[in-house]
Formats: sequence, C-alpha cells, structure tokens
Amino acid sequence: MRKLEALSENALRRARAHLQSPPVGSKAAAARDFGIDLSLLAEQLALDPAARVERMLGMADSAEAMAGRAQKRK
Amino acid sequence: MNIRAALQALKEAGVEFLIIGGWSAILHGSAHVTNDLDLCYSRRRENLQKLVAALAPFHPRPRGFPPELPFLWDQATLANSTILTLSTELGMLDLIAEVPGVGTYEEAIAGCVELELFGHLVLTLDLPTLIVAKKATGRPKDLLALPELESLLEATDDP
Repeated sequence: MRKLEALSENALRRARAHLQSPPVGSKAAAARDFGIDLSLLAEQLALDPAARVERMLGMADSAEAMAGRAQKRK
Repeated sequence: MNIRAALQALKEAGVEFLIIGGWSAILHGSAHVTNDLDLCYSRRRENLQKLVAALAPFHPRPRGFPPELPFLWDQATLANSTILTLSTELGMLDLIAEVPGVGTYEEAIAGCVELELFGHLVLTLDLPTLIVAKKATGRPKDLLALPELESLLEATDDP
C-alpha cells in the first residue's frame, strides 16, 4: 500500500511553481480562471496530510463560532 | 464533525473503512471546508457488526428523519442500505457501501493510499481515484470540486 506523506522539498517547490504560474492550457490555469485561489492549495500542500486536516478543522470551528455569534445577534 | 473521535472509535473497533469525499480531498491538499465525513466500508457481515457497535454510542439517525419516529441502528439496517446519511453526536457521517465509479470497499482498496491520522493508520482514496469518484457521482458539488482536485493532481504529479 502506498503512503500519503508530506511532499519532498523538490516536489513542493515544483508544485508551488506550477500553482503560482500555471502553464497556459493547464488544469491549474483553468481552475484559476474558474475562480479557485491556487495560493490556498499551495499552502495546504506545504503541510503534511494530517496537518492539512488539523488546519481545516480549525477553519471549520472558526466558521461555526462565527455563525453562532451571528445567530445570537439576530 | 469530530473526525478524531469518529476515527478513533472505528479503528478501536477494528472496522474496515476508507475515507472518501471532502476529507479525502483535504488530505490531498484541498482548501474546501466540509461538514460531513464520508466513509466507504466493507459489507462483510463481521465488519457490519463492528461498524454498528463502534457508532452505537454516538446515536446515529438518518439526517432529516422525524425525531418522533423510531430508528433502529443495527446490522440489518446497514445490510439493507447502500448509502446512509447519518446525524450522530460526533457530527454528520455518510456511510457508503460502494464508491461511484470505483466500486465496493474491497475493489476501492486498489486505488487507496495509507496515512497516519490522529495516531491511527487509515486509508483514503488516492487522488486519481478520488477524481474518478467525483466525476462518476456527477452531483454539482462534486463536479465543482474537480478543477481544484485536477490542479492538485497536476501540481503534485511527478514529471
């Protein structure tokens, strides 16, 4: 079974370069034009997979807390 | 979703499952927040027993099911369902017997990667297989995830 691990330094450098300046005609260029913020993907790729989950859990908690505060103000 | 507690309960019970959907996408680098945990599980009888036992303490009920109606969380319920969208005390949990475009748990294993998460070894779809599943599902929210996932695959593919 293959392991899902953090990208190596070289792989991360390549991924960042690809996402910062997507080649014309690439999927990443199409995604950027579609409205995807590719810098967020680059940030996520800099983390190991478990840290990606932790980061998104933190964001989900913050969003829930904000929603709760907004509900209270109504 | 208390993903940590959910995974711990499932792993401690020895349930055979793999992470699919939005949390699989996050493991591969997606920046989309998701509320529910989607899991594909083995439908072997022994595994259904373990799955029922692991989740029972968290009182699963189908989402949107009227609270006044009884719901029995047992092996027969699981055996008779291929998709269960559940509300639990840990959050929303979707149990899927067959990954669209990929197949059963046993078939999906070939398109999986393994990782350590919260101290447990867990399986998730690899990125190409996740893309296949999203395309096969065909729901608008899955199709909207494709540009991001395809960008991630392109960016992380070895030349």
